[in-house]
Amino acid sequence: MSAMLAVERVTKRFRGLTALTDVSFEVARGEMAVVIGPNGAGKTTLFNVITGFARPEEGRVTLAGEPLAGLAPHAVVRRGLARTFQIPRPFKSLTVGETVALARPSAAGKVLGAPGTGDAERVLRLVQLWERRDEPAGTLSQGDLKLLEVARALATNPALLLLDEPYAGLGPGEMARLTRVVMDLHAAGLTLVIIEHKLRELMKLTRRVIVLHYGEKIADGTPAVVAREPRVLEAYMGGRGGMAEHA
Amino acid sequence: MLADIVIFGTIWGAIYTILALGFTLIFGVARILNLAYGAMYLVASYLIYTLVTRFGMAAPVAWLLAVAATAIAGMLLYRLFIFPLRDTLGRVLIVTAGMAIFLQEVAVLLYSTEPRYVPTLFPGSLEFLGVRITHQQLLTLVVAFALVALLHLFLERTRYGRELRAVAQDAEMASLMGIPVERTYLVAMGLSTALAAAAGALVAPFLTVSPEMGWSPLLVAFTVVVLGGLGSLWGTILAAFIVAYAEMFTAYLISPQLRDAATFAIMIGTLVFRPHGLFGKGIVE
Amino acid sequence: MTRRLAVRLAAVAAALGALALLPLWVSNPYVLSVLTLAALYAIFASSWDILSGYIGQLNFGHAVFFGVGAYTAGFLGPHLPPLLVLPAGSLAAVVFAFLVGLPCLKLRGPYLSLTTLVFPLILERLAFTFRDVTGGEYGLRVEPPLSGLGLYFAALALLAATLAVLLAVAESRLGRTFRAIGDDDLAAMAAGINTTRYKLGAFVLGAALAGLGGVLYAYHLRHVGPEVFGLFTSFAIVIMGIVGGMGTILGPAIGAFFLTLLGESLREIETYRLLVYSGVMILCVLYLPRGLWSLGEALPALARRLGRAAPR
Repeated sequence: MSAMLAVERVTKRFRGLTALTDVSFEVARGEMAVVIGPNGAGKTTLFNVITGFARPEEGRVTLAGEPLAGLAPHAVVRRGLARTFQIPRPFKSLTVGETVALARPSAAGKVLGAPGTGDAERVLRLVQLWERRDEPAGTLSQGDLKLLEVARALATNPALLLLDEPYAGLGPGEMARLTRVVMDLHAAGLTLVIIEHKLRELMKLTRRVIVLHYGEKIADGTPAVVAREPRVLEAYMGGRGGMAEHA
Repeated sequence: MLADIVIFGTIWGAIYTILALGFTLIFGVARILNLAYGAMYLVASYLIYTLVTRFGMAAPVAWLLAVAATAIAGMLLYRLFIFPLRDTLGRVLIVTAGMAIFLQEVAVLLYSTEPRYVPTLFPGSLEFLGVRITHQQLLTLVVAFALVALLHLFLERTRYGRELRAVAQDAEMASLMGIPVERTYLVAMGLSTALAAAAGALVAPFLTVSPEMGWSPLLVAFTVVVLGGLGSLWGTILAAFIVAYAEMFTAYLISPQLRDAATFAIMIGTLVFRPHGLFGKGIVE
Repeated sequence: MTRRLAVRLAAVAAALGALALLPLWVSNPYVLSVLTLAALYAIFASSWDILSGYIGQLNFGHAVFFGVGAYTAGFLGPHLPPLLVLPAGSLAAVVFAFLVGLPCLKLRGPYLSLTTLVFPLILERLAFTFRDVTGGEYGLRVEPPLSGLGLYFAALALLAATLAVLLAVAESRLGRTFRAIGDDDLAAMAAGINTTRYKLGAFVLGAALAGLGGVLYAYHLRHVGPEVFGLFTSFAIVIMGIVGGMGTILGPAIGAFFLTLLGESLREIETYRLLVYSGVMILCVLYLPRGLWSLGEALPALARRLGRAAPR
C-alpha cells in the first residue's frame, strides 16, 4: 500500500444539498497535491470528511491503508493526519508556546515516516515564531496566526498534513515565509495536501493538481494537463484568474 | 381517564403550539436563545390578573392590552439588553437568564409568592365524553388555533412576514437584498413576545398565577422546537401535541408531579439521540 | 510550581487564615454562620468555574452536584461515621457527573445550558415524588457532627483545599487543555485533544468538590430538601460566578462572598435577595463583563497611572 491517503468514492450530503459527489483520488507518500476549485466547490467539506469532522454518506477514506471510518477528529490526528483551518482558530487564552506545547503528538506519525516535527521548539523555529513564544496567541497578526496554525498542526507529528487555504490573507513577505515552510516540509518527506486559491506560488512548486467543482472531481493531474482540461476551463471562465497562465 | 388525557392533551397541545411558534420566531430568525421567553408569559399573566381583578377591566380588553403591553416590553428588553450584547451569544444567554430571574423576583416583590387566581372570561363548563371542560378552556383552544392561522397568514402574505422568513434563512443575504435586518429582529422579538404573552394570558384563568410559572413554558417551547424543528409549521404542531399528550399520560397514569419531567425527558432524549429532531430539520447543526 | 500559582496560593492562605482567626475577635454566631455559608457557596462557585469558565460550557445545573452531596448526608448520616459521609457525598456527586455529563457531551452553547438547567429540576420533581425516601417537600433532618465554630473551620478548610486543587489544575497542562477547549473545541480536536474525555473530566472534578461542599451544606442547614435542586440555588451559583469573573477560580469565590454578604446585609428584604443578585448580574454583564476579578486586575495598572500623574 504505497498511497498515504486514499479517498474512495466519497459522497457527502447536508440536508438536501450534496456537497461532494463520488470523489476519489490517492496521494502517494511524500507527494504534495494541491486541491483547487471555485468557492463552494466542496474543498473544505472534503477536508472535514477526511479528518473526521464530518461523516460521509458514502465512500471511505484510508490513511496508509487503514480506514478512518467513524473516527473522531482527535483520533484521526493520533493516526498521524493533521489539518489547519481556513480561518485561523487560535487558543486566545494561551501563549504561542503554550499552544504548540499543548498539541498531542501522534505515535503513528513516526511509524508512517513523519519527519519528527513533534517538538515544540523545533516547530516554532521552523515558522519563525520561537521568539514570540510568550506572547498571547490573540495578539498575533493574521499572517502569524496562520503560521501558528501550521505550527500547531505540525506539533502533532503528522505524516500527512492538510492545509486549508494557508495563503489567504497573507502579505507578500508572509507568503514567502509560508512557501519556505511548505518546501522545507516537502523536502523532509511530509505528505501534503493543500487547498488554495492563490495559485501562482504553488503551481510552480507542485506536480499534482486536483480540481473540484460543485462537489465533483473534474480534473486530476499535473498543472499543465489540468489547465487544458475543458471542464476546468469552463469552470474558471469569467472567474478568478485563468488557469492557462499557470500552464 | 383516557378521555381526560385526550381532551386536555389537545388543549395543551394548542397552547404549546403557540409557545413553540413564538420561540421559533426569535430563535429561528435571530438565533437568540431568549431565556426570558417564559418571563414574558409570566408578565402577561400577571398583567391580566392586575387588569381584571384590580382595575375591573373586561376580560377581552384586558387580554389584548396585556398582550400588547408585554410585546412592547419585550421589544424594549431586546433593544436595551440583548442588542448591545449580540456579538457574544454567551453573554446574551446570561443576560436573558438574568432578566428572567429579575422579572420573576419583581413579581414576588409586587404580588408575593402566593398564587393568584384570575377570574374566567366565560364562566361555566360543559361535559364532553364524560369530561368536564370549562368554557375558558374551550376558548383557549379556539383562540390558539386562530392565532396559529393568523401567524401563518402574516408570514406568508405580508411584507414583514416575508422579510422575517428571508432573514431566518440567511441574514447576510437578506441584508444584501436591502432588508433591514435589525428592524426585522425587533419585529420578530415583538411577535415572539406577543405569542408568549397570548399563551400566558389565555392560560392564566385556568391555572394559578405564581412567580415560578415562567420556566415551564420556556422549557416546553424549547423541547417542542428541538423535537419538531424550526421552519415547519406542521412539524411544530405535531411536536407540540406529542409533548402535550406525553405530559398528560404521565400526569394521569404516573404522577401529576412528574408531568414536566416527561417534557424534560423528551428534551434530553431528543438532544442526545436524535439531535436533528423528528424530521431532520432540527436546530442542532 | 509557577510563580503565579505560588502567589495565588499564598493569597488564598492569607485570606482564609485571616478568616480562621476572626473568631478571636468576633464571637457572634450569626456572623460566623453567614461566613460559613459564604465559604460553602465559594466552594460551589469555584467548582462551577472549572466547567463553565474554563471549558466554556455554561452550566446552569451545578446544584445537582451539591444537592446530591447534601442528600447523601441526609440519607447516610445516621448510618455512617462522619468521616465517611464526606467521601460518600463526593462519590455520589461524581456518579451524577456521569449521568449529567454524558448526555451533555455532544451539546454546545445554549443547548448545553438549557439541558443542564433541566437536570436539577428533574431531581427536584423526583425528590417531591418519592417522599418515603426523601421526605418529600419537607426533606430530611440532618444531625450535623459539626456545628457552629467547628463547622466554620471545616468549611474554611474545605474551601482552602478546593481552591488549592483548582488553582493547581488551572496552572497545569490540564488547565491549559481545559482553556483550549473553552476557546475553541474544534481547534482542540484538531490538535489531537480528546475533548469529550476532558469535558467529562471537568464535570467530574467540579462535581467531586461540589459534593463535598454539599455535605457540609446539609450540616449547616441541619436539613436537606428539594429546594436545594431549585432554580434559586442553580442561578445563585451562576450569578456568583459571573459577577466574580468566570475563568479565574478565585473570581467566583470572591463573587460568592460578595453576594452572600450583600444578601445578608439586606436581610430585611430576604425574599428579594435574588432580585438584587440578578440586577447586579445584569449590570455586570453589560458593564463589567469580566466580573469583579477584572477590577482586581485593573488596579495595579490604575495605581501605576495614578502614580505617574501625581505631582512629585
